[in-house]
Amino acid sequence: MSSLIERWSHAGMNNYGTPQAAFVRGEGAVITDEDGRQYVDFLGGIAVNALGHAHPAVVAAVTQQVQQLGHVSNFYVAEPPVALAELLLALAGRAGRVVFTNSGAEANEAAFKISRLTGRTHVVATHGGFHGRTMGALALTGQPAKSDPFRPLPGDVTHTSFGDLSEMEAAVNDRTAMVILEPIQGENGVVVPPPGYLSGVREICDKNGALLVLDEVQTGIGRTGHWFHHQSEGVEPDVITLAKGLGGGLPLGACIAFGPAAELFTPGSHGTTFGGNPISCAAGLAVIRTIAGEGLLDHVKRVGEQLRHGIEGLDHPLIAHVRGAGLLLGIVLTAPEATRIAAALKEAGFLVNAPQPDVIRLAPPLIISTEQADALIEALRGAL
Amino acid sequence: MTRHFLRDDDLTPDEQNAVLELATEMKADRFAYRPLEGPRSVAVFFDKVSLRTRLSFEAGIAELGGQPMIVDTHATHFGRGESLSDAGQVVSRYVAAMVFRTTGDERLTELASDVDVPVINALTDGFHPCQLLADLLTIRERLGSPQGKKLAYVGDAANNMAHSYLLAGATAGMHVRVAGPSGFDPAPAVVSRAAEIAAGTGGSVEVLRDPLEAADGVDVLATDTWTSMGQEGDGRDRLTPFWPYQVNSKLLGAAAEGAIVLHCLPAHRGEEITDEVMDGPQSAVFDQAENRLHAQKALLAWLLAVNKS
Repeated sequence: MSSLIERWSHAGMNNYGTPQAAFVRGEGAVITDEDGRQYVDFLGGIAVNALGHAHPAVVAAVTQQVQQLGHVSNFYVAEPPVALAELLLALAGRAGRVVFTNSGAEANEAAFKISRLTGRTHVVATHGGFHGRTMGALALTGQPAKSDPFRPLPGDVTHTSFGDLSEMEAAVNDRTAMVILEPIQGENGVVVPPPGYLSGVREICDKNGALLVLDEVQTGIGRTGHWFHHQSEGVEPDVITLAKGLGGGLPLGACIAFGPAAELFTPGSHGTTFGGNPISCAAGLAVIRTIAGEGLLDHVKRVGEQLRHGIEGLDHPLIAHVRGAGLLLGIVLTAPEATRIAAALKEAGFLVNAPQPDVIRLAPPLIISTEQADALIEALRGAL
Repeated sequence: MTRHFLRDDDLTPDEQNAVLELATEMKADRFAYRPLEGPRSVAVFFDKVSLRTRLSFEAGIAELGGQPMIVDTHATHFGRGESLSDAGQVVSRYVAAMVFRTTGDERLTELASDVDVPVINALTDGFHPCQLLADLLTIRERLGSPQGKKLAYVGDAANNMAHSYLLAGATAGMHVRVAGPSGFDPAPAVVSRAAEIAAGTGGSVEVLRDPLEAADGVDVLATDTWTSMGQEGDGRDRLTPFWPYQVNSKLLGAAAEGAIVLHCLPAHRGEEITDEVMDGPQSAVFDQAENRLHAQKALLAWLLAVNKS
């Protein structure tokens, strides 16, 4: 056992199990463990390291900001959260308001609270959906193994089958405050709904006066080749939640509301100590400006297609197909061998994960190169 | 890959700058540039009526040494009975470039889908990118580089001018605000694209409701008619919600000292803009109208050169 993992086993709670590796540095899409062994990072800290490790733009923004102004509390405001809020609204393309948080779970908690202020309490979410592990977010999460030990959980939550509009239609009524779902279920194994699902849910919400909340924590900020994945279907949600890639490795989440939903929080409704922290927001600005300035959305689409075609082109009996969008991909297997294959890829120097027994997830940094993508495809051939 | 000019964001920031530089040079020596010498022809198709666009393209093509062919599509077989793509392929064998004013942007993209001569958008329901080149040329003449300047467009924020201000302004590194009444907001996809461009150019875009907030401290205050071509009978009240967005002395008073006022004309004086402002010292609307000629000549010359190389 490595010395860091050994020390962790005495000091850290066991909620994550034993760490699989101990890393000491990273650069771009390459990360180095304490023995000096290098890996190409195809997990990106689970879709967090949008620009990879130690990206100069993030390093410069964070360094400059921490030297200038690190924290002011939410009695006051600093420039980075204002600029980032304006930029997020502009990228969403609609007038609205933003509240910053520290994580995706917290962004979903904010959305949950916004929904309560409509005067309704019923919520519809999806089986297999993942929205976080705090008590409110856990109530929305549709994965019983994660939530059952902690019941009773808040709320009056109905879970429906992801992708099934008739179930959604039956579940939503005039007591429903919000429908919350991910445009692509990441944690559930990169599950893509049928075309038209999002717009169908939008219609159902409109018919019943319910808010549509899209959890873009994993899919947002360029991950699928769009700023927000729902833009690929032209749907207009009432609320978007973000985190993961937004801070490029720094803890940063956001809950963005549009139209009347943007006015539901009033002074005293909500708060969080570090939400809108200038350092995290400076990192967020650097991430977005880099994605925009370097044309990374197109790059994400291109490399995503390269991976999809390359992996399906291996024509291996263990591979059923590849699903997902951009650089959030699930390699669906014909047998429950994802854990074994992920371990074999790690041995070969590639980090991936197995969210389901028969699915391998890829969520590399958006800057991953075409050469690194080719190398992964070759390594996968060996790992199979 | 033939380079066309169908939307403002078909030019990168550097390319937009190059076209505007060329426009300045061509304006200074108006009859010295002859890329259409021959004469080579340029077909200019109109699905919608026009005054400025027609005359500025006709004069400009002639000044470039070329032969303008103005086509009112209602009087021809253009796009009737055969696909626009087929029509485009036929016409492209006669001409050096095609210019098209039409309704839906899909008609323009269809015309351009399979041709090896440049196609230029002379106004669609979605965008008016030639007008924006003229506007940016005017801004450069009056205020210097547009980079970092603040521009507010107030009025019908859902129309082609709003969309073009967002895209072209962001490309030029400007801070663009658009403000219109509820129900007249720009297309989110256009705002999002503009924001993406602005994030790379140092500009920014904002969609606002309050016209005074939008006009606050801006260097350029722009507006357009509240009823665009083809919307005359759409059954929407295009007066009542718009009065707060009228460009008058009060709204102009919120702008920076020395701000200029733009309007792509024709103006409905007393509606979206008052006589006092339109005829006042801060108005640049007639320079702006003249600059259609110079900007479009430069665009044509640039597209011909870039497609040759």
